[in-house]
Amino acid sequence: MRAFFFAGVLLLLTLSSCVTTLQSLLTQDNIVTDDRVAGQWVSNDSKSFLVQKIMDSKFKPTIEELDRHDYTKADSLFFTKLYAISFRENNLDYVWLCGLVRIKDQYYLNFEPRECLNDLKKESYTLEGQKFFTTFTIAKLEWKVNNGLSLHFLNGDRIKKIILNGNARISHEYDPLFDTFVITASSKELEQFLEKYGNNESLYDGGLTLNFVRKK
Amino acid sequence: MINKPLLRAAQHILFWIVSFYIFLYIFKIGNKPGKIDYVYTILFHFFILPPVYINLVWLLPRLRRTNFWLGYFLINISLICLFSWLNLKFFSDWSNTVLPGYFFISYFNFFQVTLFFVVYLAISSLLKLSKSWFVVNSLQKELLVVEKEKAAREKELLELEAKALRAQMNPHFIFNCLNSIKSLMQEREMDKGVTYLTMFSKLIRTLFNNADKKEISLYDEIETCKLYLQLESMRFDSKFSYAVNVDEKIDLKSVQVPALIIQPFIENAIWHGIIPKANGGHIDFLVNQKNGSVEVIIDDDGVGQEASLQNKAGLAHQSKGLHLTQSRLELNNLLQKKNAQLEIIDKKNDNQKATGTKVILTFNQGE
Repeated sequence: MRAFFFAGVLLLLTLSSCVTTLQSLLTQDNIVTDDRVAGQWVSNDSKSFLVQKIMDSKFKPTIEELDRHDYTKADSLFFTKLYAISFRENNLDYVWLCGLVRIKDQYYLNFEPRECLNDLKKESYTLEGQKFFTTFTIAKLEWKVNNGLSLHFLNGDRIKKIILNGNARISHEYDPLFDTFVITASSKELEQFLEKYGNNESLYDGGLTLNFVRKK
Repeated sequence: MINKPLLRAAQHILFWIVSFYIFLYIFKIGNKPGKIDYVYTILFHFFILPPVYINLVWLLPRLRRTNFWLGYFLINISLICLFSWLNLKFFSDWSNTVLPGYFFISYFNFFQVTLFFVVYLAISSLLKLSKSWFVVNSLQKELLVVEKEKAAREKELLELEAKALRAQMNPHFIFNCLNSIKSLMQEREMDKGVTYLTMFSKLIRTLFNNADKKEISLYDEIETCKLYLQLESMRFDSKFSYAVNVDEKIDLKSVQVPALIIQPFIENAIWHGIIPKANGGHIDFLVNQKNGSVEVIIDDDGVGQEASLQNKAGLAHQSKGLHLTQSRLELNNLLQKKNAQLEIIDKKNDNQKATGTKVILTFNQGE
């Protein structure tokens, strides 16, 4: 609990009120890629985000690493479909990994924090060593005209309220002491949930929405 | 006494309550069941109830009547597939419309849902069959009791019948004897009449002694027959002769026979065999041992059964005593679980002319 609590806090530092899941939405079966995702993006508050295919980023694994982890071909293929997002906030350099999922003609992005470095390029918070459980958050991707896109994050507070009120049957953990909440549903269940309720606006209302424009 | 439909309804309610709580604890997602778990368990049961009751109310009784197992399984498989699909469809799609305030997904795949249905149909069928088994068992026990009571009543009835037949024998015999005495008196043979009366009183005393007995010893029966032969031979004077030959090796007192079972055959031999014959006749009364049984033979050289029946103008005049005796013998075999046998042989010469009747009564020794 403490482990994903910390990871959750890390996410909440940057994406307050987003839903936190213990399991990734991504699976080898549902992960997809879209060339439109990669590139330099500027948010509506003028912050810059660099989105790279993982194989073009510094996280590209070496052959030795792949051998060391004994990845299967499917694992490798899955890994290559990920994106790395780099951005700076509060004098810290963040790197997130994200994957694209298409459910019923709707794209969703699954985010996981990967790195947080201070100006000395020292790891301020790292999850590389798997000291903590990584948690994930999910956003609906909406393509806009004129090279724009919006990310609508599921409203974590709203979902938490629905679940704790006994109106949604989704596996979760709740710690009333620290008021921490994480969804523990499986990847398949998350996918099913989005398939059915992905377009339910009430799950996004009041949540974080980020608008981006591709940097020319 | 509890109303049966009410008891049945209570059993069903209890079953579903137990089922609900088992499922609730299987389906709960937290440490203890929450509101959503109750709702989900109720909804899940909505899809289990129809196939279970279609099976219980329609399919199983139909199977019991037709024994068409293939059809039964095919319909059940179709039911399972249909309601599993409905279950999946409801939780993955329709619940959004039916219960907009609730968020459900289908937590099980098709195979897992069908397993739930298979288990439920199997359990409910087994419960129904085991219940039916208990009902059938109980009915069989009740039936057995009823059959025992019926058998006891039938036995009682047969005994009453046998008693009635015994009661009929004595007046019949007395009637015949009194007729004989009347004949002697009409012929003015007073000495013979007195002797006859003395023997008759002796015979009556014997009959009285045996009146209430279902069975008497073969010894007593033979003594009665001897007295009767004496009486009848006196009455008809030289009309017939008789010889009694009893194997001395036989322990006559150990063989139990129905009272007055032999006498009617002697009476029949005299009245319907010898008397119609113009030049008189002879009766051999033999008691032998044969193959561990005692054989009582009444062998006359009278006119034979056919001629006797013609003389009497048909069955209406057949000796009533003989008919009663045959019935009594059969009843006694049934009631006392004995195997006494009666054989009546029409004796004929080489020209196929009747030469008399031979009656063989066989009693097992020690019976």
